[in-house]
Amino acid sequence: MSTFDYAVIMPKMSMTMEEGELLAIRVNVGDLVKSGDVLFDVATDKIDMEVESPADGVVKEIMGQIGSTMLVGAPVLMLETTTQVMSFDFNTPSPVVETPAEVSIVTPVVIPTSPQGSVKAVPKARVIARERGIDLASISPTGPDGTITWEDISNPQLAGAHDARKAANRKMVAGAIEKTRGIPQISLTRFSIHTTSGLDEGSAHLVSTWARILRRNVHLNLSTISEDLREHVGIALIMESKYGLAMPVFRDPDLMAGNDLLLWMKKTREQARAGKVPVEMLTGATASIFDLSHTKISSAIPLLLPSHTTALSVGAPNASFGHSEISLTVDLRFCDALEASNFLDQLVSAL
Amino acid sequence: MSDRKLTMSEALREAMAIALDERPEVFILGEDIGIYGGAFGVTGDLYHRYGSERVRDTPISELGIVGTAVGAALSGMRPIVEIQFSDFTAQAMDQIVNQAAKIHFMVGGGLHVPLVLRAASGSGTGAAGQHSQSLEGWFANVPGLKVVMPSSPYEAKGLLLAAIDDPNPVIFMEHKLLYKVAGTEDVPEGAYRIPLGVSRVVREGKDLTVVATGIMVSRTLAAAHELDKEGITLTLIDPRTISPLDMDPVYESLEKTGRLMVVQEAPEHGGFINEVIAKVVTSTSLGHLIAPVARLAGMNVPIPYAPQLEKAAVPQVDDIIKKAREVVASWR
Repeated sequence: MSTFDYAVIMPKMSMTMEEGELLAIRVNVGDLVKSGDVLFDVATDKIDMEVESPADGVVKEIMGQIGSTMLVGAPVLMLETTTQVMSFDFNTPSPVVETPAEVSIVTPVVIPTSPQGSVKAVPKARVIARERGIDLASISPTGPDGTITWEDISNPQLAGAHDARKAANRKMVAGAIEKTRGIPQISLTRFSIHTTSGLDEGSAHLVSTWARILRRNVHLNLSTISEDLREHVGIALIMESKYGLAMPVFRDPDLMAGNDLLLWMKKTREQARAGKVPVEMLTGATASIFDLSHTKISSAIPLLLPSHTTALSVGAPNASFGHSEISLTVDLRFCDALEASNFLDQLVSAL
Repeated sequence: MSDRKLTMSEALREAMAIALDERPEVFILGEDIGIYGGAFGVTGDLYHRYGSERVRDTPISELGIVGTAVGAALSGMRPIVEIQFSDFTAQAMDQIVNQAAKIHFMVGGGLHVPLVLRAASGSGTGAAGQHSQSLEGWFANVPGLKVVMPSSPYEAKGLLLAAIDDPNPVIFMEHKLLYKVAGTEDVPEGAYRIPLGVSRVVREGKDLTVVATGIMVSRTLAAAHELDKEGITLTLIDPRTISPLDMDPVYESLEKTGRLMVVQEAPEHGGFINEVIAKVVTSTSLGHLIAPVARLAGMNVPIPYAPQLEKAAVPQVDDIIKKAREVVASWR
């Protein structure tokens, strides 16, 4: 009897679903499963679901990792089955079949092995990977443009240090967010139609505009730690760093000439990317901004950081209508919801 | 031996004098090379020492000069042609490419064309677009021609004597800015020959392998001294003859450094130096690379007349320092 390999994929559970989180895998490689047995659990922002086996068979390989977010259609595990299974393309409407005289048989999906070619690595790193049987995808790149360097692969200690630094960074951010969890806060969102320019131009405009509003409303510009900060407006802008995210603080950006601020922004972004934020830019913030205009993320709930009274996020413009979602989170001990909505309105009209 | 720090002009003149002494069939021909001593003073007093039969002033016709030399070479002479500016080889291209380069092969090896064509090459003298080009790549693309690019007085003398010995045509590209510069090495008084087709490892380092030609060799060396202070050390390889090209020292060096940088004055697009990159990436040497290959070459523009722009159009010491630093810092 011939057997077929059948990839069980991340299913599309709603019209808008593009990816899902793999919550749990209920089977192991080698397990015998029957049609209808639960194979794994998937979560989206709307729904959690158990995915059942489409046929009787043996679990041949598990590709998905628990806790990871996977695109719709990505293979989660591979079944070896004697039953030919129909697979569905969720994106095209099914043709209307009047008399199902014949069941169309779809060729089993063949999953390519680890696509090393798509990983960026210098030639010598590839040679070493091949010699030592290392999967390049398992190496964290530290080179320009996300490229795996020779050092990354030949000196795992350094790569380990890089990972440790990333982990420490993550822990620090998580710790900071944890501290503000008990603070009474509210997040408000509204649409804004504003023209978005370059990444740095957009962020500079946002930072200086919000700083101007905070300066006019001094009770919003309040550090819960230090009184001194009232004198200044310090805005932490969340930026990409080789160690995860960095939050360099732009102090009094509204008092600077636009071009100077832009140059400062560009320079800081480079420094942040290299994981080298200047010491003087590490502290002194009363607010944070998460500018997602140049990503594909339409909105994020801004989280307060310790000692900040406001947090702001700007999402990517909607592809069809051009509007962006701006969200503001405020510490309710210093500002009520009505005031917050007023500030958000001020920001939108200023932008 | 006493201190003999010659300029490249002096070293070339010594080589030609030795050849004139050694072989009665050697003679020199070109524009203003006799009584005037050469546009850049390379032939100097040779006219007075060897006479007008052996150091021959010619009319202003590069095609005629090279044609005469090809005929003389075929009939047993060993002519040394001087072309005032390498740009003017364009006038003589038919004789160089279609005659000199081909004859030996088209008669089944039965004839030889032992001619050397010396030409003043490169920018930096404020002579603008028609007198400043680096055209070595043209000739390197013609099978049957050997192409030599001396980088110092010592190299120039030894390579020119080897070129004169060669049984077939050799194009000898001399950078104008090197003519008047005294070398750092002593130039031996007598005859010595540097074989064509053997690259020279000028210095060795651990971080970067640089292949540079002509004047870029001394510029890279100056850059290397600066980089030494920062702890970046480079291996410098001077191919000396770009055709035939000896790549072995490059492959060997890349095993140690893993980073390659190529430097030439000629424009980047379609330039000879790309051949060095091609040979590395089409060989197993590729597997030693830990960085993308860095390339420094002239801009794809005619050499400008304005001095600042002329300088900006071709790699300078600072450009080499900057690029080398960048490659080494970015790729570990």
